Amino acid sequence: MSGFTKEFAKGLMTSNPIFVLALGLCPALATTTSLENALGLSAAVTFVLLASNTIISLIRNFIPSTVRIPVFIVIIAAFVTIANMVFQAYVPALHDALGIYLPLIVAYCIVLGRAEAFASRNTVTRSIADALGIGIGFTLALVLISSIREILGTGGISIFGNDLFTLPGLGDNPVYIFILPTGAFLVVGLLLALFRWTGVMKNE
Amino acid sequence: MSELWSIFIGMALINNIILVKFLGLCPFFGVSKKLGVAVNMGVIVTLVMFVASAAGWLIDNYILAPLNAEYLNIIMYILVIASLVQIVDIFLKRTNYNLYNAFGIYLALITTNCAVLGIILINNDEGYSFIESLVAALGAGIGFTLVLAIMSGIRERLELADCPRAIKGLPIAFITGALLVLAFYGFTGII
Amino acid sequence: MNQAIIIIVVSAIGLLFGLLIYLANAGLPHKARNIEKTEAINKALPGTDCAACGYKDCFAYAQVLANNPELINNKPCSIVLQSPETVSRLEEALGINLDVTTKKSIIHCGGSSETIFSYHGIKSCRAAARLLSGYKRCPYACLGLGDCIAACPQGAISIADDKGIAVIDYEKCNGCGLCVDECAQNLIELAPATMQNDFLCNYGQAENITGRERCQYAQRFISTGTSPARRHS
Repeated sequence: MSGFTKEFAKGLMTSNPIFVLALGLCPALATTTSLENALGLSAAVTFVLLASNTIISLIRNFIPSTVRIPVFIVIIAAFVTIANMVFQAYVPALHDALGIYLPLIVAYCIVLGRAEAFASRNTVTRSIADALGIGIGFTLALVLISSIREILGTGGISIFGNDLFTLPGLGDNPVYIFILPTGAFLVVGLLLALFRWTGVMKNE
Repeated sequence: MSELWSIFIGMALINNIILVKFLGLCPFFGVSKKLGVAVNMGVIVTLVMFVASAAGWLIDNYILAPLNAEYLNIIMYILVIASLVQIVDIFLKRTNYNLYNAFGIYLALITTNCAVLGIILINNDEGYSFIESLVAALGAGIGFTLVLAIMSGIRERLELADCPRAIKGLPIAFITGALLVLAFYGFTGII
Repeated sequence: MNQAIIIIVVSAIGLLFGLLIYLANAGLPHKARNIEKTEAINKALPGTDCAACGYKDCFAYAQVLANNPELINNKPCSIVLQSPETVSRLEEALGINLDVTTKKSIIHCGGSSETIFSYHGIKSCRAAARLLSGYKRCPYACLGLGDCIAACPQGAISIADDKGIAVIDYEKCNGCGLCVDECAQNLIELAPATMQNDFLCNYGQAENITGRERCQYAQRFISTGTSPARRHS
């Protein structure tokens, strides 16, 4: 069982996909305009990671090495299609807000990268642990970025139509730049620098 | 004609695929350390975008739509892109081995480049016709190459600058990207 | 029924793409000749791209060597010659025997010449040498401004502070000879590694020096009667 928790913890801190591995930056910048979008996308990514890691590590001994990348991609694409259709059916507003970034999960480096680097070489339990760890690490990172952007950019946070809270001063004069693409680059860049400076995510 | 022109300028400058749509960030931060390699990468990505858009539109309209199987479009698009990249890989290895070596692993990574799949999905979303899809792909590719070239030029200089240790490398590249986006806002008035 | 048609059509498209890739692989011939041999030679070369052999980078040299292996002894790769394993790997890739006489660089200046004015110009030997043949009494002296230091890919050259001349660390020098062209005073010579390590003055080679004294090194050679030419061990 310690192997399970070790892989899980690795995905959270020392192999955090966004702040340490620097994979999956596309969704980190694009879907973090609001906390709601970020949560929705990271749920989808975690689901795809779990499902594809499981299947790939189950059949890893039967795939010839030369065609492994196309096989992985098609498996991931199948699960992304499933996630896309589920979102379209049950949360259509969120699906429209996410737009093309939901089907694009198939192209995010993080999903194919974990399949290639981990799931194709390890047992099913460890792959599931890794997928969970990376998925939750991704979620936490996205929640951090989107909270900062939404609080500073709109003055408060609102989920599924309910205003959670609104800061008094910022609510009237929010700093719009944080919602715009510039703010995305700025927030992620400064967070990367902060984590590197404090050495929080490293093994040292 | 002006419709096509506005699509072209929109994709290339106003809704630039890297700076505004945030697609294709991996090569943006990974490849762009040398100007020559970055421009070559941009040209090949433009070519892949162009052909993949054409093939994707044809498959979507003439094969998937009659069968009412539009939900399979993601799988089909990624199949097209993966095959195309593999063919370009073989072609480049046989004809221009120096360039092939210069690219290294980034050539195979074009398959998972969000920008290529993204442009096909955008074309699908916006419901463009065949010619409009081609023009959009061309515009996106040229915008991609332009921003990659600018970023690699800046990064070559940044290598020699005296940054604090925490900011050096990826963080300062992000902040440079933020400033680039601000600069590109100047294009919004063109159309 | 519709599902069956969809499955068949999608599988057919997948097979079609596979066929296209197979045709591309089989149909396009290699434009570069001897591509496998080039890759094998490239693996045996050090990959540092120092251009000491005269070619732009290791891969360019590998391409030339694939067609003309005997060129390796005219333009040797000095990094490969440093250790027997690398030598045997390259010999295996090329199929011919390497000439393993290693070389080293010698700077022919003892640095005894005093400075006659202080130089505040561009910090390059090439620039300083153009100004009245340098700021030292001997017009052939090493000016110690570091053109050779910048050229050395191994970092084997440094300035001796007391004499203000460049000295070579023979632990690091692998005899690539890139410093030879850089020296503005033509003081550096690529010699066989077995030669003695004295800082030998070149000053004696100059025939007509009017109005200038010779540096102590040249003076010592002349007074002891030994020829100022190089001594071999």
